[in-house]
Amino acid sequence: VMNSNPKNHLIEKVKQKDDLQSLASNQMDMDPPSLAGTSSSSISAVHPDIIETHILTRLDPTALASASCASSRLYSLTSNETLWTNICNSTWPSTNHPRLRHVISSFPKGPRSFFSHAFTNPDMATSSSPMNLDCPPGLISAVDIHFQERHIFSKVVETETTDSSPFRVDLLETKDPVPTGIPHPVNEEMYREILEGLKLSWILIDPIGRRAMNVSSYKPVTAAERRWLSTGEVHLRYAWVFSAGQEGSSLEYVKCGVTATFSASHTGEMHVSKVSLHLEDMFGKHLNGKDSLAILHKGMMGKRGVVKGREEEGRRRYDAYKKMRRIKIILGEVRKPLNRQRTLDTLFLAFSVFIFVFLVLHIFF
Amino acid sequence: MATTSTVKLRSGDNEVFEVEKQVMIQSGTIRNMIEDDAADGEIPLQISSRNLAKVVEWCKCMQHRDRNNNNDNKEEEEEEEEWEKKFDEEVSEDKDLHFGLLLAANYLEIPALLHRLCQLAADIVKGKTPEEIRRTFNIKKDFTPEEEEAVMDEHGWAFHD
Repeated sequence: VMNSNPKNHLIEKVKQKDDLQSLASNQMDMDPPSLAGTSSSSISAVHPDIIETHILTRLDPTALASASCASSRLYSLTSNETLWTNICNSTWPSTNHPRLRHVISSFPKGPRSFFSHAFTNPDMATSSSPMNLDCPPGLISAVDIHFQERHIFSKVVETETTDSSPFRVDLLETKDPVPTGIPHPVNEEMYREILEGLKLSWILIDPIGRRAMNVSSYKPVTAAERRWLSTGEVHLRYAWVFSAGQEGSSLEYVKCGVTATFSASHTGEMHVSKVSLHLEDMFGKHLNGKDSLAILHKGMMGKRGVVKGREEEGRRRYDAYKKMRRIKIILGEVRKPLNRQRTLDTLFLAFSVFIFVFLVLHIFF
Repeated sequence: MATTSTVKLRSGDNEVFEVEKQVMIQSGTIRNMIEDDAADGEIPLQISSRNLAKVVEWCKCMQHRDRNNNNDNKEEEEEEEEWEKKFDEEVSEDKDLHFGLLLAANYLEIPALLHRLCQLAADIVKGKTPEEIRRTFNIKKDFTPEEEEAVMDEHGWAFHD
């Protein structure tokens, strides 16, 4: 008798009672929502448990952060640590590392603060504080690489920087390459797909100061070299440029440069064979350990860039930095010979005067 | 054993819906009542007739889909997809319906419907600024200026241009 076809009238209205004594039809036999006086058209009418366990867990990090700024109720609903721990773990599988789990839990609001730190890149280092050359030497690098949303590589490395040799963090020994499951590119199209799809995040963490930041452009800023067909190696460059010193100084902008090398294996699959980080000043000079540490700490304390369109921003900054560096280097080269020339000129002039005087004296006396 | 194959649901505004038990066992609440032989009379529900009608419609569509799952009937499949698309659109545009159904799905314990509605709510939030979220969901900003500054400090990166 029942019509099970959903296309037809689906509801069998049997009878309609006249006594419409019912009032608010949506109020139900359940815990009242914590905010009173709301209609069902407000999310406030929805049970907080539903919001917390079924809606907030479906948000991406940006939407979750945005929602938490909408009202104090939503802010407290988004305070759940598990929510942010899950977001951290799905964004960066490296955060599941025991050492990182411990460090993250020590952040002021745990994974919530850590996420905001690690998801954002430095824009301008604090200018108020002078360069602190006594920063704690310990830094943790947490690096994750994804290919087209698929996680392919994670590594956590703790470094102690004390010396004055060039600063460099190396994640891998060439001896133990990590398979990626990505076929080695055999043509231009595959190569471009790899360039477009390989995203790298490099989180730097100060475990003592409990601060962190991201120093990667996520997408490659440029392919370091195009010899991939002959050498079987693909070098990708990621970078983040931020302001770390006064205008005109060699630290006006510094570049955090990440180089990732993928090599071909005998199976035709690419391996991650090298991933490293270094810092360069305006002249392209590799900064030493002590200076790098101080700059990175200032970066962590300073203003952060926005997240919207940061992949393009990363590239834009890198291109601008390269241009400025070229100008600086040219200016530097021009200035140096000029100075030398002036010294020579002065010497020549002095010598001429001396000869002249000598000759005059010799002739007349 | 239940004597009839249908169950009668009475909405908060006293409209009665007679629905196949096979359809309504998707609701944990109704299923329990049927199993306890407590579903022979009318079941009063604090749900408006508009929302209840939509819930019943949804349950019927899902049951129909599950039953036809093994059939390779392209035409019907497309029709069902079309229906679901229309349902999503209708719900997304009508906050009263959306949240009314959310409450109903929770109350009636229909996980699939609840999850669908929550996914729709999450999709609506995506890409919006806090102000847009407040406007969309009818939420009042209740931060003190100090609180707001702290919150913006923490999460401003998510939506500033």
